[in-house]
Amino acid sequence: MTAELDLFIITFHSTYWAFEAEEVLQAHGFQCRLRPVPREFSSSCGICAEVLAKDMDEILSLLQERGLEHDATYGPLRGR
Amino acid sequence: MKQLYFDHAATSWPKPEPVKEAMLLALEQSGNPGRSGHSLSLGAARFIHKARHAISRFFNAPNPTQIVFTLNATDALNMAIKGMVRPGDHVVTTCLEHNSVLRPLYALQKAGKIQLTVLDLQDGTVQPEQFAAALRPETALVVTTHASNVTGALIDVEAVSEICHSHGIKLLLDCAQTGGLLPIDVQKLKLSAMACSGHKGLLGPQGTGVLYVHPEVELAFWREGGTGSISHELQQPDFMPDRLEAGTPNTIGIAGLGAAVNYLNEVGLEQVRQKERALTERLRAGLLQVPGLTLYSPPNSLGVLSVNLEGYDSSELSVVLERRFGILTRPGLHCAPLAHRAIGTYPHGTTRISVGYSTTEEEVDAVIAAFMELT
Repeated sequence: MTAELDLFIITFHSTYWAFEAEEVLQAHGFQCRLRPVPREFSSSCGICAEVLAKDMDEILSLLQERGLEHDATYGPLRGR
Repeated sequence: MKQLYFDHAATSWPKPEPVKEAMLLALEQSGNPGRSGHSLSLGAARFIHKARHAISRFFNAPNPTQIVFTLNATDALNMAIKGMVRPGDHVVTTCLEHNSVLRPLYALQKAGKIQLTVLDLQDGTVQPEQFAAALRPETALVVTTHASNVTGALIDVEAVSEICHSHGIKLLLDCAQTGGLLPIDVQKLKLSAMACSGHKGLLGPQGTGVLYVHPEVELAFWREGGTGSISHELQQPDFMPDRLEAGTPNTIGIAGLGAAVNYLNEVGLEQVRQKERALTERLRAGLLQVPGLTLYSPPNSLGVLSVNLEGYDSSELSVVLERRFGILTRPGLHCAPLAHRAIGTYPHGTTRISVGYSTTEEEVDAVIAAFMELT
């Protein structure tokens, strides 16, 4: 696994916000895959977004700018 | 014999092709929505997510999270009524309500939890001034239908909304008969909550309904259970829509409802309304020529025309219309006993002939010809 594949996990209170975030992030060209929340993190809505660590700053500003609520972020993590 | 469907006020039929396609696709491609996180689970949740957006736009909700999927309008109305009233509240409603409003309110009154005022019919409908006159200091909620499911009589909800708003009283609007036929803007109407069935004018499948809740109105929990969110908490989530959506939803039906609303947007609500209006007026004019026929629907009603024909019981008339002419109507009390008392047709009821978007002029003419033959 190469360093540029390092990932971040973004959790959401509700699945509604996970799907909102996915739509917006993908529309802006960011890699974003929804997946079950890793058990060591807060369960939140059960679904989280897996994004690239290198995009995190931009993603967080975008989420804030668009009023997209998220719960917490975890990373950087090594992808599988 | 060809079937002529005139029971759209109960369930619209047939459903548009895109509704069937969306439901088949959802049936084939849905796991449990949003619970498991695998592709079929996420796919199912996306069907619901898209439908929530489509419906939110359709009713101009301030935020899609304020749209809750329900079993039907009855479910939505029960959630809204029982979720909003507090002990000692006074509630105002109308004689034109369906039992989905009357029964929850009467149950609350019988249990001593609320005081209830039911407004009478005046000039074929219920007038805004009647609402204003019924308000008391302890009035907390007005529940009104947008249009009668018996006569199609419309209530001036813009005026009722102004009255409620100026007195700080919550307004719950029952749009079961008007959703998909009349433009409904929940923000413009300053609604506290709005209930709509999915299977009537919205052209969706049965087993679907919509509840809109104003962001500042916190409905009491309706049922607790799995939401897929904050599963470690034993308490129901307090955020919308999870707050009111416990348990695995009707993903296939909701996908169909989303497609139905998109279809209505493509056709255009104005086009739907104009067609419905033209058909209604054609039917009204024809029925008024039938000797011995009494029409109970006021001028400018929706396409829900209630009639009685001299010499026929309403059920008998409905049976004859089907057996001899293939015309499908609904006789009886239409789950609205107070509306029938108000128009003087209780307990025998009326035969209700209701048009929909799929109705044609030829079908309307066939109904008029059938009535002429029966006299």
